[in-house]
Amino acid sequence: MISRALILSNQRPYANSLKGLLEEKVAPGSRVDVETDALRAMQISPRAYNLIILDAELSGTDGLQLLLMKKRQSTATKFIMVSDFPNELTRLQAFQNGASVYLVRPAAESAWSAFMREITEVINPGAASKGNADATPATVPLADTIQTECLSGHSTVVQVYRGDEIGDIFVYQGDLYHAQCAGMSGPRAFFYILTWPMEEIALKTLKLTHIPPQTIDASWQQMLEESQRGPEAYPNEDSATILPVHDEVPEHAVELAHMEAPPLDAADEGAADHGPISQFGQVENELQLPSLTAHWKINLMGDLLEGFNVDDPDQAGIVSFFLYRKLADVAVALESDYFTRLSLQGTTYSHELVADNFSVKHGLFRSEEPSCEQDREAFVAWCYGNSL
Amino acid sequence: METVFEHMMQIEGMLATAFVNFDNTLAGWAANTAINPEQLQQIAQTCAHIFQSMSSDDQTLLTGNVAFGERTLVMRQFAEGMLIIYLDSPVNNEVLVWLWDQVMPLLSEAGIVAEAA
Repeated sequence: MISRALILSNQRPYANSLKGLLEEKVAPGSRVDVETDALRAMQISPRAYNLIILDAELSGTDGLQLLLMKKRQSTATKFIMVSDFPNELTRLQAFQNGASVYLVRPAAESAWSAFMREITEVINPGAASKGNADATPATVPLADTIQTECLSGHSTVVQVYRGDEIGDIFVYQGDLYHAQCAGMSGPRAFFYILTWPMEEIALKTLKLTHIPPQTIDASWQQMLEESQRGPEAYPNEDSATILPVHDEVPEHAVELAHMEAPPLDAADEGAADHGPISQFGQVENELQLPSLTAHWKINLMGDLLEGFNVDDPDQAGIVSFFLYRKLADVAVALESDYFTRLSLQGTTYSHELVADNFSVKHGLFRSEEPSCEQDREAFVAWCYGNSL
Repeated sequence: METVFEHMMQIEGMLATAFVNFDNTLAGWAANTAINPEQLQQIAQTCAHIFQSMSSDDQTLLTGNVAFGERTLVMRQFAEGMLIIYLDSPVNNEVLVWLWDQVMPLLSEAGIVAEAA
């Protein structure tokens, strides 16, 4: 059975139908993601998915190449390739690149049942048991098997089955090279797999056909020795999860930011010893914008650098820094770069923030002014024109 | 049955959307990209927190949009909760008007928000 699946297809209606059938009928309780953008599909880690159903023809990229790349990244994931224009050459290449099955996209309603039957065959428990049919119950500790493979100088993948879980440990020319299991890879996956009790596991050793990316740098002796200490001490960036968003900005965040080294900016020279507010200077209003009531600039540590008509410099800097920090959290969640522009429209005031790699400019506008929208655009253009 | 959020995914440029009630429950979501509902919920909660923090007795934040390169996160606060929409394009005022013209009837018909426009 699967817990997470991914559909890679440019055809949204087809992907929606398939997602619905998978979640409701084939694998209830599972989560199915859909990705329609081929470029983003390139960036997705396949390790998080038990099953990936991808189109052979994806706009902007070659589905067969994508399949090859993803299969190398996660041999435990099952891949199903779907095509509108099947031919024997593509079918052969799909299997060579790691597909479990190659299917023709259902063109008519009547073709869906056969299509789903094939997918079910790949993911149901019967099929899963077929996958480990050759595996033999472990008779010696897994660590001993790994040690034997390494000492022999082999290039193999040791597949470890424990119930519905599968782990792969890759040995390349006698070195421990890579390990993966659902949701993790590298040392963390290795240590996790080694915690599985010997009496619950079955093993299958295969000759290595694809060399995976190296995720384990330590020697096999070190890894086996350290495995005795358990997996907790070995966090792995690949399997890191996104940190939860803080509900509040820590009260000491700005203070901590001030403790960082100030930027090497001529404007700050000689002022670093006097604290952030002493750096702040009121500037002339270059912008004759009717609705603009104030504007200011902070650096990325939260120091207020300069501004026009700023009543409360402390408060202004904190507000901008708060927004910057919150949007940094959003950028992490979206797996995106930091924001470049933020617009907030309120009943009384509207805000425009423009950010680059060094600072954030913040403009405050009266929403009720008829020129507010034009003024905000003019402010943004001015920020870009002044390189922040 | 296709939810209103899945229906919204057919709007041009739509990458993801989610609606979080003010008790922080996820009322609905859909995505054209491999982003999971926990991430969307987290983002919507962060946006709601920004809106709450930036509001005062004489100021209520209504809408906002954030540019992340060529992509845009649009947020809108309702009496019922916070809606976020992640678009695969930059926006200007015309794009936002066009977006709300399509989204609002769907949300209203589904009873997710009370207001029609």
